[in-house]
Amino acid sequence: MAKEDYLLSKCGRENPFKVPEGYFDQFTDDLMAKLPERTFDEEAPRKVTLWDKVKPVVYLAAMFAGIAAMFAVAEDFMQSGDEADAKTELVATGGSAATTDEMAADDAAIDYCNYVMNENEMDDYSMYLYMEEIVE
Amino acid sequence: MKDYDEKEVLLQLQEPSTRRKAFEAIVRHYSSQLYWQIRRIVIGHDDANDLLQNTFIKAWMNIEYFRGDAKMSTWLYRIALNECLTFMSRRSQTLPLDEMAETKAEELVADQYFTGDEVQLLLQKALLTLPDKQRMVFNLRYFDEMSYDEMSQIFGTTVGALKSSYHIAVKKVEDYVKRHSK
Repeated sequence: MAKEDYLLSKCGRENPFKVPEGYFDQFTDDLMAKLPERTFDEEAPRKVTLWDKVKPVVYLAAMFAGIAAMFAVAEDFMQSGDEADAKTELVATGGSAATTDEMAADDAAIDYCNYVMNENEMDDYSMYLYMEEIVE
Repeated sequence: MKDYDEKEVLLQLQEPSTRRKAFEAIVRHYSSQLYWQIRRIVIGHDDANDLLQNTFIKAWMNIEYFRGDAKMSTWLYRIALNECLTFMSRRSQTLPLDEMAETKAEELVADQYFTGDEVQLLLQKALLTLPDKQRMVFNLRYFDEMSYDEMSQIFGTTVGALKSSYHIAVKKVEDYVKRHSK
């Protein structure tokens, strides 16, 4: 037994409402007379230009070019970073070399002084006087 | 109407030059079925007439938004039932549901365009106790035997929810009729 069987058997489906005579015949004419006038834009078929056709390809190419440029810039940036590191290293190495040279020169001077003092049997005081003479 | 060809009318509707003529065919074809739906909700003929006119005027003012993939009847039903809901909610702001049901029942008795017998009057009184949306679901299914799928498109609700709503409505109406039958 369907759920609405009781109602169908008791009340049925008959429409108990009525309308004034000729209502539906008149309704359409009355409504169309009241219906506001509207202007619709004539939708002219749009002309497909060459640009329309190639636009997707151009956009795609531009996108790839952009990505390639981005990679190139990133690579340059990384390379310049490496070079800077190398330069810094070089400068650091050069600095230590200079320091080594200076130390070597100092050592040579001391060695030479010792040699002169030993060979000429000079004491410290004589050496001092000798140096003063050179400076003057 | 036998000479109504929906495909042909929808083609004419797409052309701005034949749009008004096509719309006239639509009004002629759908006015009766929409009227009865509206009338069962608002009860009075004058209110139903006003709402039917509003429905078609609204449809005409938005005709360019009608998508051909939906059925014209579904689109029109949706507009009509929304008009009814707006109308009824405006009414319910001034009267609670039970008082409104009584007022509408009195209107029915006095209405010269209501020719139902005692049992049909009882059925209408029972329907007036339902919430508006549930009453719409009941009317579409009980009187028009509309499929749940089509109702689902009109209300934007799931088939399951509609079945449940109809089942509850039938139960309420049946109880009312049983309680008030002599």
